[in-house]
Amino acid sequence: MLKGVLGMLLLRLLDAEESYGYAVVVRLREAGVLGLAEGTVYPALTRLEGAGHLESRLVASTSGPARKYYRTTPAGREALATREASWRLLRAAVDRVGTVPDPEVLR
Amino acid sequence: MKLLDRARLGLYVQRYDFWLDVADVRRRRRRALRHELRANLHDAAHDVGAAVAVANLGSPRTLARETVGEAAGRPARPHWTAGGQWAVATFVVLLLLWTLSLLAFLDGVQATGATGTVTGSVFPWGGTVEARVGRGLQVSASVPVTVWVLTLVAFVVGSRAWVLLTRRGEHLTPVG
Repeated sequence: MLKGVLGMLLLRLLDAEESYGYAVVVRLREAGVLGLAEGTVYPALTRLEGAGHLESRLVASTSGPARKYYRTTPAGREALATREASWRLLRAAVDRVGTVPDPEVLR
Repeated sequence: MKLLDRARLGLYVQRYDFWLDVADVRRRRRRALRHELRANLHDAAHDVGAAVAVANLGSPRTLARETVGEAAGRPARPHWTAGGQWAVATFVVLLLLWTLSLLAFLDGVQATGATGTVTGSVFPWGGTVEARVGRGLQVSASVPVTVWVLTLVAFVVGSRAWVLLTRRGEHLTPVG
């Protein structure tokens, strides 16, 4: 996965809904992000929290240990906006590369 | 959850904690990270089984390194001062025990009424004690090599000198 994309996905997901590590992995897989390992997502959550882009709280669970729920902070939303803008630029550039030029335009 | 599965998850969390410790992560922070990983592993194990849940996390060393980010990419420094303190404490305790066992040995020699030269080995072993019994009692002994070896071990363990070896480890760029 491209550097920064996972962070953008996490910020976007946790801005929409508060969630915890494993549930985030499941949600991303359900959304079609394949080949995603927990070992990649958990450290990314920790780093985003360390950067102040996520905040967390412990919620007791009836089925096991207390879960750590994350939510995107206002600073995280700003970072998300920046990352999404970069992503749109990249996607537009990718769309342009390798396309066959319109002969009418070349005349 | 089966006992074996619990053991598998517990072992992974302990290995993760070990590498966090090597990366100089403080105890309270390590405890929080352990709890979070344990909760996630618990849910994943219920979903896909303990073996797959652990496999999806990859190496605990890499997970610890990526969790702490760049700081974990730089191996922790050895704690030479702590190592020195452990070494001194170990040396003093062993020397005290050696002296006490030496005195016990000499008491034994005198109690048996032996005469001439009596040799033996006392705790922590690794050296010999020679007692010459005649008109008086002459003793010759040197500090056993075991005392020095155990002192060195205490220094290495106390200073975590092995982290020097991890300095040659590769640096990974965190994704995210």
